[in-house]
Amino acid sequence: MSYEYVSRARKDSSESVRVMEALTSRGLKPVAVVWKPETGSVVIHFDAVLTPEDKERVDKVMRALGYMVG
Amino acid sequence: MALGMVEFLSPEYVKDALSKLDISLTTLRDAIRGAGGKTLTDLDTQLGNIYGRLDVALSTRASESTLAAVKAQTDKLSFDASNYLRVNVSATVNPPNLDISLSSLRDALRGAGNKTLTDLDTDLNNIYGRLDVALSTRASETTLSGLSGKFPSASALGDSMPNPTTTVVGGALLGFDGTYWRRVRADSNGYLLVTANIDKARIWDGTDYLEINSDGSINVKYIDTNLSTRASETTLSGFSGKFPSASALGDSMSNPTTTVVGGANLVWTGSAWARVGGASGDFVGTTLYGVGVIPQWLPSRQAYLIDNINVTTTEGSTTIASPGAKILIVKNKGDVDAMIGLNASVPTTNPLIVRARTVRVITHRGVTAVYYKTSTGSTTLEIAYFN
Repeated sequence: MSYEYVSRARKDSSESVRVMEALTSRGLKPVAVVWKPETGSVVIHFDAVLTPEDKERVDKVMRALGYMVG
Repeated sequence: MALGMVEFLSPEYVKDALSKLDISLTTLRDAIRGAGGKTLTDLDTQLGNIYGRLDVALSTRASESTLAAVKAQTDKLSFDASNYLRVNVSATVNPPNLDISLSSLRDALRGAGNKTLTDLDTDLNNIYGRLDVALSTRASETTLSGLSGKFPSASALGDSMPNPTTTVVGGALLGFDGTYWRRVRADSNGYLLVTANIDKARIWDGTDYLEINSDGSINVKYIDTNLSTRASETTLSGFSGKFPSASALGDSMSNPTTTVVGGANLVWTGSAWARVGGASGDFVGTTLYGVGVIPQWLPSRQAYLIDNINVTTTEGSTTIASPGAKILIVKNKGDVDAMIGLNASVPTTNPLIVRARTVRVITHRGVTAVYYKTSTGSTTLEIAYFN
């Protein structure tokens, strides 16, 4: 399952690495993170659908990184 | 006394004389012979016996004075209550010669083997048993010396030895025919003439036997069937004609004109042989059949797939969870080449390129980030990985 988050801030190609580190440091285990420079968004891939609680934890991390959650 | 003589006897005298005949003659005889009835002959016999014992003169025997002198000496002997003679040991002659005990003397004489005269006697008896004939009946030194002179001195055998200068003894080689002993024969060259009458001959090479039977057959280890059952020259010749002549392989070889043999390729599944699978596919623009090959390193599980990644001239990235991808498959689905950077941004020089409409499989110790972009235009990537 994948979840996409959009950022209003300017990012570079290392953004996927930063997002991966932020999520894993909080115990979340995405299998891949894709940085899409053309839209300024990241797509976070998990190997299963997240529970509402885990989805909330991901949203919290992504807000902290400057992404819009909605 | 004759009465005829003119002599007068006084009656007194006669009377006195007759008065002395007071016992009869028989009484007188018995009185003289005594209660044992012994006669003078008996006495004479006894005297003869006594005389026999008196074989030397009495004067040659010890006199009274001699016995007195002996007694004077024997009186010096003293005896104890048990009548054992008392001896003054201190007066023993030569006591220093008694320098070892009798038991030591015994042991020294018997030696370490503790042999007694009985043992020696036993041994001597044994030796004597072996000496069953007199030594003088055996060969003498002279006889053996003469016999020895008839033999050459000992020397190692070898080629070109000189002729013997001593006695030559011929060996009469004989063979028994079941009844008689026969001389072994040789031909004029001295070669032994042999006619063997055997049921089976066996020749041993140290490992196996070659057997020759009385019926003429030969048993050899690897010849276990009749030759007639094996392929004949005709059969082999015909078989040989079905194969081309040997020649070195090379390009532009002509088509074979002899039998074409197809090879049934099989693979072992671990429990059975199975036919190699074939599949048709595009090969440089042409559909051909090929052998299906499964790389040994290809995981049997499903890869994680990230599809439809839009790639432009602005570098994008995909981060893969640790420990990263061991096998990374990047498929370029578009018509523009994609430049790839592994675990770092796309290099400015000599980047890894996934050509348009191709797939690149990368094995790696761990790809945790894939960077990509195009030099012009855009394309779409599909990234699959195994970690």
